Amino acid sequence: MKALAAHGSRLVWIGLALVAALGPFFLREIELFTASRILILALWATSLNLLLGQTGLVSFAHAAYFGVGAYAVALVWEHLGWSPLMGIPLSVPLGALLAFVSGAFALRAVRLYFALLTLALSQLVYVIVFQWYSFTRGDNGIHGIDMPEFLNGTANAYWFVLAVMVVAMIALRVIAVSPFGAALVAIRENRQRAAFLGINVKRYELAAFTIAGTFAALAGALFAVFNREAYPNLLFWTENSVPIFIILIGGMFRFWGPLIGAVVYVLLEETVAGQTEYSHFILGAILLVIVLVIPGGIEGVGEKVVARFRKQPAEVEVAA
Amino acid sequence: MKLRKQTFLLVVVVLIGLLGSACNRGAVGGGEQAADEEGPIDVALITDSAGATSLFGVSNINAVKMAVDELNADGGVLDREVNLLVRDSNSDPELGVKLAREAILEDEVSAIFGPVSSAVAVAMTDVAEQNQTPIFFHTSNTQTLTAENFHKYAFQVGPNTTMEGRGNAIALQDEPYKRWAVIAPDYEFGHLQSEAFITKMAELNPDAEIVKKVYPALGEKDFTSFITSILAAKPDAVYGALFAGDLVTFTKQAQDLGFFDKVFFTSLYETDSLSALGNDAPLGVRGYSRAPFYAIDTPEIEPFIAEYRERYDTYPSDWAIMAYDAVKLWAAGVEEAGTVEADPLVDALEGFEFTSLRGPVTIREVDHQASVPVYSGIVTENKEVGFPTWTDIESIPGEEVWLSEEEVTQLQGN
Repeated sequence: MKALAAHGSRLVWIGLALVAALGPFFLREIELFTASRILILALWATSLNLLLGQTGLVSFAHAAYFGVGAYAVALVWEHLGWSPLMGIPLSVPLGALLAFVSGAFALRAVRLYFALLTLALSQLVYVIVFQWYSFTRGDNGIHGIDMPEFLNGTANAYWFVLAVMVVAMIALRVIAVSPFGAALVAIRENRQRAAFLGINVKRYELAAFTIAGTFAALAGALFAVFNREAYPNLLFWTENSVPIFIILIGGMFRFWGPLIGAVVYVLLEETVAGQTEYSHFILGAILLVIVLVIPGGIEGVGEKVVARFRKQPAEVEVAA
Repeated sequence: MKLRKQTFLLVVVVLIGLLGSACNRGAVGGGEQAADEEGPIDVALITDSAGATSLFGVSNINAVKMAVDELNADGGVLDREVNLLVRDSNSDPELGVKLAREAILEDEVSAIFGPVSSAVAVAMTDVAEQNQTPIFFHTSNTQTLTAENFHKYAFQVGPNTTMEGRGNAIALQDEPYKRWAVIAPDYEFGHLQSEAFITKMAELNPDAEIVKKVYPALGEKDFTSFITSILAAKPDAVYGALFAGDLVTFTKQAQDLGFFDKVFFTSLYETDSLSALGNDAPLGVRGYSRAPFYAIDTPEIEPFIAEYRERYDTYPSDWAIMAYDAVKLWAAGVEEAGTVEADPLVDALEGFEFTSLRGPVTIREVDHQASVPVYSGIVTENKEVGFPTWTDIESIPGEEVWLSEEEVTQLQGN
């Protein structure tokens, strides 16, 4: 039964990926921009959720890694004259290195102080990007990055983003359900008990932080490839609210929560919020309702509804 | 059980997706209009009427509306009504890109009239290029729009940063000052325009030296530290690339510190800033700008000023005059080409001779830069218009200060 269930859920996700792959055939061009935004934000938020949902670490530095990934693509094109696609493999070690260094620093503190340190580090990166006019072009950002021929056309760029995103999501999924992932959940549930079990808590947290930063940089690189631009606002500290918002909407205790959250967030942004000047007010109000009424996010509600329908208690939160 | 749950999720996701795209269609609407042959011609003005440069965006909107109304009153363009969409990019490049993309892909506009902020313009011009849509810049003037980031669908009816910086250096070359300081907003426009001034000044007046450069952020609220650090360098003269709200804030704070008594100063003191400053304007400083209505002497400008004043009960600023010219240039090009299609329009406009409010200008083929002048003068009280204007006005023709064709080709090649 369990094997069948696992098999079934895999089929659902493969089906979803196929539907996404067929997107260019039934979506208008402008909707492909929306769809790509969903894919990129989903990857970004899922990477953050490795910290937030799985390890229980609140980080405000995730926009910095995203931005660094985007700038990796833009800067290899701008300064080295390389194909901007070289920025994608480059963004991975760059994100990892930056996340490792900042993580090693921030993890000297815990909880609130940890979050504040990540915020400070992320602002540091932002200020460097903003001020270093000759290298990053400062406030202007870098626009109009020339992509290789095969990425011309919105559909092609969309497929490219989808392919990389799917591979990255599978990798994140593998990490989340691995014994390493289980150890992160143990840390989230009780740091002391995890330490008594022989888990080197700091080292595991640092590893999770590094992995999360790496995938965030990859998401940023995809952003730059699809949108052909990178600009300092991507790294501004308020941007950190975006993946957190997405995770809270979707549900932080399930691996797929952020993906659902990204779909809902972007569609909200495009529909409700786009019609008024007070978009942040509306998004904030929605978030408030979600946190107060359905703290498990949309994923959590879905599970409860299914469980009630089946007259069985909802599954207890487990690893991813 | 697991299977059931996942199926449920799938259904939820698909439902949300369908709902979302349905809303989207409803909300955006109008995307499937016949754009090519008949019916109204849609054009969009995407400008910044909020944020640090808002002072100019409002003038853009007023003038473009007026130009479009005039076109329609005269029977439209190619006998078709012109339908204007106005969007606010809020000095935000990301938003500018999104709005330009929506205007092109959803509203199928035939042309875009650009923003105030050069940072927004640089981001937006790429969208126009990708979608082969003509874009006309009138207020944002970074040189990259006609050089490094140039594409065949981009046009510039204002003097670009190089022309402006060089023109100011020429206008100031006989001033006796040796020690210069520079203050410029820390973004595209500020850097490029002040560098063009510095380079030209060094060429014209080898004795002049730059003793200090400061770059406050666009939208800076407190200039005190910048003012004191400039004064500490003991310059004879200060070249400013400050404008709009920043220039107003700077001027008030500089006055409190006695700045204008200690040094010669020049900056973008154009109509909107001077009328915003009113009695706080520092009389005797040198202003420069791109189209001051009182500095222009053409048969076209008088009826324009009268009409503008009647509609909006205010004098047209430079940003109104240039935005108006942009619309009229587009319309003249479309009439010449006989179609709103992008490629024939571009062909028609290359080398096109056009009577702007500032007089006859040519659109240069190599970079689609209009041969427009730069103006400067001394800020003086003007009881008649009710706010300070200039005297001793100088205008330097565009042909004297624009990049040579070789320089342009080289920059475009990079």
